Amino acid sequence: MIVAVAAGKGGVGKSTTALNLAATCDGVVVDADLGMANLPGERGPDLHDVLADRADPVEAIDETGPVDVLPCGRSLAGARAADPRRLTDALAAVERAYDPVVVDCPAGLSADAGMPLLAADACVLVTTPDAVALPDVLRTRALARELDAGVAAAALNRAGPDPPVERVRRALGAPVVTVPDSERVAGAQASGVPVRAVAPDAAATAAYRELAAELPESPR
Amino acid sequence: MLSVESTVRETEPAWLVSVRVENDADAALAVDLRAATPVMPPRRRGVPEAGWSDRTVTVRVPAGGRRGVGFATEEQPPDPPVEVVDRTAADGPERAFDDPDADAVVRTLGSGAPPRDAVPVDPETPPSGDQIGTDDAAAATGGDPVDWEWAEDPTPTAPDGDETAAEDGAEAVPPDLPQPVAAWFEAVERRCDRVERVHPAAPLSTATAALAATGGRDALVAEAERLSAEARRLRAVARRAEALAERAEAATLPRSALEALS
Repeated sequence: MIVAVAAGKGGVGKSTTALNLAATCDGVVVDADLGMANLPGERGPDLHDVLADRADPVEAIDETGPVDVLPCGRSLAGARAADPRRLTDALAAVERAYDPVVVDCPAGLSADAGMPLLAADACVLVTTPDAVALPDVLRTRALARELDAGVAAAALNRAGPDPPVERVRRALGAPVVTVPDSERVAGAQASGVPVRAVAPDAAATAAYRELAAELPESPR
Repeated sequence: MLSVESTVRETEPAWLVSVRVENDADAALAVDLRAATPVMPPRRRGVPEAGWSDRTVTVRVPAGGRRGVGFATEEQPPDPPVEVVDRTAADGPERAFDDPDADAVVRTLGSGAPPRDAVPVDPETPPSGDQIGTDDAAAATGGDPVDWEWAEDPTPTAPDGDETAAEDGAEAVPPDLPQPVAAWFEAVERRCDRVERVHPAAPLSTATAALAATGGRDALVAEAERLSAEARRLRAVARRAEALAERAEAATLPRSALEALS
């Protein structure tokens, strides 16, 4: 199963959600933010190389960290050489070796953001409860529908004391899981590890379990 | 009643074909037109427009309406340049992602790749397809896999390149040639080298080495075909450069008129 983690706006916690979701499901996370990658990556082939047909997608997966990652390069030349049209085949190849495949999508509504949704069986939308992020995630939801990526759930990040769960659920038409703002989550992400590795009893760890439970059953 | 009119205009280095399809019927039609010659379809954001598949394009024509379609071809097309091969009723509204695929996503949403000018130029890297040529894959991405192979091939550059230049008169090229143009010339020279190594008079070992280096017979044939296209581009550029040079030389500043203005 391929799950796209998407949001219209940047900085709402897509990469954090993707990394933690992959960790919870024991899957692989693919950093598909071709222009501004931010998941950890060691030296070696990356998604830019895969999409430029210079590396095999499965061989580019880094299994040395706490979560298996197909990282993405950070160079402008690499981003320009990468052909996003190869992403669907690359993700299909990864899916044959790993399950599930969690894809960290870029922000915005360009082809780079649309391609993971095209490849995905389902998507998880990510937003924060503010007036900028919510309209943007509605646009991403419309794109996901056009590209047949059903919305499995939404992560409402940095939820304050009274998060608008019901309003977001009605707007997105999907179950909403709130993830509290937490220094542990931010600290773990900064170190490139999922929060459950440093705080297995944290509320955020439970939230990501709840989010993973909303994913459709894998056909395997 | 369906009517198809077409016009052909010769330009350099291709023929441009314009087709107008009119539908007098009471229902919308999806009309399949097949071109008689190999087609370079119109592109949006680097990928062929919706409806194109090889030489065939599907055009939706509303009831009592008309639609136009155009394409380029490198061969002189016969008269008529297209024929109607199928027509069916076209039900439902047109959608951006009627049958979503990777090309449709790029065509509709646009690639998020950084612009060419934002990427630092590597002197070893030949220009990408959308800088000068019309290579299919490179047009959307700026990355031609074959070009990348050349960029990683260190052998044909410094010493060999100098010798080649001395032999074929390339020393006439000014040393301050713009980098993308110089890189393009070098890329074509390398391609020529590879194809020329398989000359009948060449030693068998040279020919087999060239075959292996290029990736086999089919790859070498494809490279030779690309070389033909490059030759047409080079001649077109040469003609334009000649005309521009004449214009530049003729564009002298009338000093007396300038002094009268100041």
